[in-house]
Amino acid sequence: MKHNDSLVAVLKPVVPVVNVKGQYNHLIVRMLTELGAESSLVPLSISMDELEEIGFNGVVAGGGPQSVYEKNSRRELGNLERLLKEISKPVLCICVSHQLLAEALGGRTGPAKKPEYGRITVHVDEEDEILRGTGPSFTAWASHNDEVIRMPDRFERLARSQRCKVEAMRSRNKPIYGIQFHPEVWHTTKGRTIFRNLIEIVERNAASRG
Amino acid sequence: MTVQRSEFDAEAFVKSQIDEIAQRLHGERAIIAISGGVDSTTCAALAHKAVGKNLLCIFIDTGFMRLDEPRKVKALLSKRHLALPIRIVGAQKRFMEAIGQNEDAEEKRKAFRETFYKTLSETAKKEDSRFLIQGTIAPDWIETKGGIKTQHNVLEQIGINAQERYGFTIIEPIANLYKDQVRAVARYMDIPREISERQPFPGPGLLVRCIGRVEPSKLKTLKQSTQIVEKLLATTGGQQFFAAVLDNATADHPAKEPLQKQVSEFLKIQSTEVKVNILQNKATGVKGDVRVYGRIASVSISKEKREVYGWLIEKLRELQFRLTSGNPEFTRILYTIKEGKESDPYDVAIRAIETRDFMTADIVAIPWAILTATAKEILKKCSNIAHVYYDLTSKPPATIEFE
Repeated sequence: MKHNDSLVAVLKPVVPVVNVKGQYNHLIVRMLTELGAESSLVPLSISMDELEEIGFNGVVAGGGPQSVYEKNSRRELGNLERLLKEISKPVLCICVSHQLLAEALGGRTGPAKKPEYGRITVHVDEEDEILRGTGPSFTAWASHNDEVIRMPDRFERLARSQRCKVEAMRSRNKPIYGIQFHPEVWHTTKGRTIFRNLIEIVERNAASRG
Repeated sequence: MTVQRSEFDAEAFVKSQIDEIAQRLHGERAIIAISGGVDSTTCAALAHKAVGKNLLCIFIDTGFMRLDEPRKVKALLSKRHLALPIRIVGAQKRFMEAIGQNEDAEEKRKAFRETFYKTLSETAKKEDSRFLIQGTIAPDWIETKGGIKTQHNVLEQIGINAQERYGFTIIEPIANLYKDQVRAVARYMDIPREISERQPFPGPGLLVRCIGRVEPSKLKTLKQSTQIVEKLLATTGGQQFFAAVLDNATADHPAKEPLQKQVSEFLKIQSTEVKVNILQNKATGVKGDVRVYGRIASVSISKEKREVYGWLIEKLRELQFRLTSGNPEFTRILYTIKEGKESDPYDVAIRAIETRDFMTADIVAIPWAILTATAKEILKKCSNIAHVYYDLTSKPPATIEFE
């Protein structure tokens, strides 16, 4: 995945996937690769320097079995939490990473009053960039015991479902997005659109950095 | 920066894997465990192209195969076009003994895996082969590593050293592929359609569909029901469709009344017309990436109303979603199609799913007329069944197989 910075403009966008140990992490890599990005799974312990070294243009953090308000889980995810605070390039956080993102930037995650396993309908409030072309609603697959209870300051909600208030959110300050459902699985009807949007965001961001 | 789509390239994959297998074996002999499914057959075809007669395909008859399967598979793979060298190793008794009285899904799977590798290991020694090739694919190791299920063919990814324990080195040429990609490779290699498009069959075979304790009469009922379901549901469009057999035994459980109420409220029918049972058998599920060895609930609606909802599959899907999402212990919801004799020992569940990669799955909306015809046929052929159900559960919260 390593390449010379000066060649970035003509190469595929490099979007590694942080493996948070969920079952679908591998599918994120598959999706990104099929859409023309360069991607592979990288470990939870990956540092900012290592990400820079592989020449990343953006990053996706996947789902996992952890509960981010539990001590051991939080320790396991400590490195990713630091990265989420630090990275200024585009980041998409899915499921547990979305919940971690909320906690990392001052919001709150807790047990879901109404968990969701399987088919849900996502209602799009704001097509924004990451959800462009997905409104007003679409079928998605979700699987979560926890949920974001309060978004961090300067975040806005992009989507919700009947049972879950924050299905998608973004920061107003930087291109960092959280999604509760699983856009990487085949049963999520607009999943491909979302990843296509992500790649566009990554490309625009890379171009603006020169 | 322009994005180019880079779909999976079967041709490039085949070329690189044939080279790699040849290099790794370096003129030595290898065995491959085959089941007649698309994964192991594709792997065997790749390995055969790479090393020719240095490959021997082993078909272990575990006793948990479908009716007449060993013979059929051998005939299919020996055909001139594939010409794979095959040996059938009979091990039914050995597997039955190893499973014994185990009721727990994971214990059964582990006993199966251990027996499977011991049998292979002995065969490898006899054949003087240090290498075992296997058709492990991505969901196999993802689920095992994630602690959802013990797959029969996953060792190294969870830290079991096959060399030390069984005396062979494992080669897994298609470990990073998903099912649809394996099928693309199979088609590219001209593997007969009967195999390339064949619905998946689990590694431990019918063991994982014989829920709870294995008994000879239960297994026999399962084999007969499997044959009926595979025949009658073949044109309904699912990627996988099968039967599972359960014990006709219910558990006393505090969720029974609440569930009954939830069903009658959601379907807007009187509570006297709804009966919910919590079964004694449990089933593997996955909720929020965590394995749940969960409860199974059956929903029976009065005969007059049953058919109405049987046609309203969207409604039943939503019912399943509500019941499993609202009740953390539950990972399966079954809908009663037909009853046999209440005193009979077993139940049969029909499951049909649509999926691309088997990582997520939705149930197939099978016309009620086909479901009832299938149930009728099962009740006719098997004399020991109390209920025939349709499994309403998506993945998540269920897994594709029951155990």
